Amino acid sequence: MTINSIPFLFFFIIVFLLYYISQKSAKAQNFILLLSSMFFYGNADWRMLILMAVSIFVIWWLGTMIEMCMVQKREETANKFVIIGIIYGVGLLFYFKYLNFFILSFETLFYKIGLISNCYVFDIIMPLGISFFTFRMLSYLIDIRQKKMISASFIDVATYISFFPCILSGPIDRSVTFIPQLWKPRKFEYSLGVEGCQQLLWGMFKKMVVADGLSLFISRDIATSTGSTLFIVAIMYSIQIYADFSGYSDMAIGVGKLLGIRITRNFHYPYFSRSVAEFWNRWHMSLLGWFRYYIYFPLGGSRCAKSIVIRNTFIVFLVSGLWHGANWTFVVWGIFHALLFLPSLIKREEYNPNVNIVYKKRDDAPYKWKDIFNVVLVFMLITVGWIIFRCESISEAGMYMAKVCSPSLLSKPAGVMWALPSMVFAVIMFAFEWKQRKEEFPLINFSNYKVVRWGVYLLLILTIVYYQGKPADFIYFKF
Amino acid sequence: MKRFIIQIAIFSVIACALVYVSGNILYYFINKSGYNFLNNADYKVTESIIRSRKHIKVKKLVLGDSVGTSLYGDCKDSCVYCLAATVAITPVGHYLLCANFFENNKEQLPEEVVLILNPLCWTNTMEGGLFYSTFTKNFFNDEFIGYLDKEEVEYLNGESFSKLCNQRWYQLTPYVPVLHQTQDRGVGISPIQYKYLLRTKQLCEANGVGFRLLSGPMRESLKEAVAEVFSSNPHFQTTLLSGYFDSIQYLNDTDFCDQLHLKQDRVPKDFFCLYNDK
Repeated sequence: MTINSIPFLFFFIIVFLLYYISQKSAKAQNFILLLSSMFFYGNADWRMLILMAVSIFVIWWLGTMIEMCMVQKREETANKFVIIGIIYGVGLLFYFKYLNFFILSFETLFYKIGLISNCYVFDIIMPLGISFFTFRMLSYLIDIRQKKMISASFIDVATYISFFPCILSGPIDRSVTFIPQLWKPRKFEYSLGVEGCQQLLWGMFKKMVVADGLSLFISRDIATSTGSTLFIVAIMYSIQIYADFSGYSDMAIGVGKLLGIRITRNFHYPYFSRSVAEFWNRWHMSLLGWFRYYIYFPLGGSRCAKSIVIRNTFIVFLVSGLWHGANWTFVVWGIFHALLFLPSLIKREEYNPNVNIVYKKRDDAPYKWKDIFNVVLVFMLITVGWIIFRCESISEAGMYMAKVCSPSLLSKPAGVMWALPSMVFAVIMFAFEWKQRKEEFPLINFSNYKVVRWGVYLLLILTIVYYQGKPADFIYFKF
Repeated sequence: MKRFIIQIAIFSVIACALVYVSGNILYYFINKSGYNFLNNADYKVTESIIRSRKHIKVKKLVLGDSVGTSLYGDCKDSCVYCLAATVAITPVGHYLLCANFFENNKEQLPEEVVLILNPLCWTNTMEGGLFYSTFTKNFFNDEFIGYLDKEEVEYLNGESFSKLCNQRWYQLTPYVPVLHQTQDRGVGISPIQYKYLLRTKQLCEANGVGFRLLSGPMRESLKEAVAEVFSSNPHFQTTLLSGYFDSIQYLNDTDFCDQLHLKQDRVPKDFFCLYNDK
């Protein structure tokens, strides 16, 4: 039952009605959310429900203990509970996601240095959305320890960790922005409900028409494809991964708004970025926000010596790469992005605690004609990153790039004409997003006339009905 | 809340009406022009169905998968007529296209039916991932239902949304949810494939039309895999199928753009010499 499926529609209508029937009691609403989240998650993989329930209990208990220790001024004990929580969360991730990867990597290493190795690889089923809910769990504990959050009831914590629109692919809300919303009863707000529907529709268009439409054409045999074909496929993949992931985020945020809950924004038109730094302020914002708050700032952030800032940046990107999956390609992808950051880090002035430097925020600066070159350049660099990200191995990525740089880049691309309608829809998507780039998503405030607005909604529905691509799993489900 | 629900209800009614009306208009234009500008993933099936309704005198009728389409889809020879679509419709779909064409051309049947099928897809069943989108949605309607056996009709009736298959707008949608699906397709040849392959042959024989089952060219590197398929099931040793395996032509891997399809510039004008065989 994916968020854009017909069974989900029926499921959501029931949840929606029950939720607002109980709108006088926040507790009842939270309980309904928790039950529906468990049903939703159990429907995807019921075997992992026990793990989820145990994890929620452990985190809730640790949160309560941390707060109790802080009240009793037992700071060290509180720290110990935080460390236990971090070990538990990271341990879960390590066991389910990385254990086999490390075993196999060590086996290869031992083999290369001549040591006999025949390691045992575990038969592990990775729980869906583990990277997302683990980060929510850690956020809750750290926020309590940092006094940004107070410990919440078991149902509130469970609802926060397992909130069904976000459990499989985010956005990763921080507990401090999410849990307080659960404390008051959510009454239905007409404008928020309409906004939710609009965002849901826009997300469905992006996912079902653009991303799924392109997904048919992006699998190519590197050995037999020409450089020109692979080049176009790489560009298509860049568009597909954006439409897929931001489409999901839009749907999740839309569903959240319909339930009266504001979820953290995850994308801010990242492909209109004029620098790599700007791109990372606009792409998967909730994850990068998480890393910023819980890794980058504790390491010193930007307010330290240049060499330390460079180190911090590399650590964040390395962890970000590894977060995506247990493969060296993700590590290289992370390092690649850190390297793209390097010039701006080297150019920046050395931090001086006595001088208050005010950095200009460029993200909101108006676009100029010369920015077109930067936007295209950033897009191409990000596309190179996606090649590494997408390939099964580093050697495959190397082969891919070698093929793209070969003379066959100038030959006629094969089999990409079929993707033309999907590419046309991608262009329409970007054009609409460009026009509405100051809004949270393009369907907000695009016309004062109801007829025009409804006309566009109906057109989007017709496009989804007649031009949707082959339903494919959301790319970020596997992370 | 009340205002929201009323607005959503009005919008939903308008959207449903619009989908219904636009579907009928689009269906009319597509059938009139014979060109499916919706460019659905299964548009080849729609195109083949429209072509199977045509009243036309030809000598060779080509049926089959996407390799058949790539070999004869753009055929300009007036004696060869191509109804090849995709492997996903299985021989059940190929049989229905053939039967429909025969029905619409009773007075001028072709001399021979050539069915081009890939040897690695004999395990496909009616539960394949694309079967619903490509077959059920297109064929499970009043036009074709009469050609199917009771057994198959019962099975298809049990599929979700099967009741919508007579709706024109629904037939034009590219993908629909597939709820019944199995990954374990066994080895050799699935009973449904063998049954309808045999029925196609019998239909041809009953109408005095020749029948040939051929495979498109295969990659040299797949020789072993094909040999394995051949030895996997006794049905392949029968007269109907053994000749098929013997006739497979293996070409260099570099001639292919993927596992099965030849690169566009390597597609010969008439791979099976159907034009010369007039």
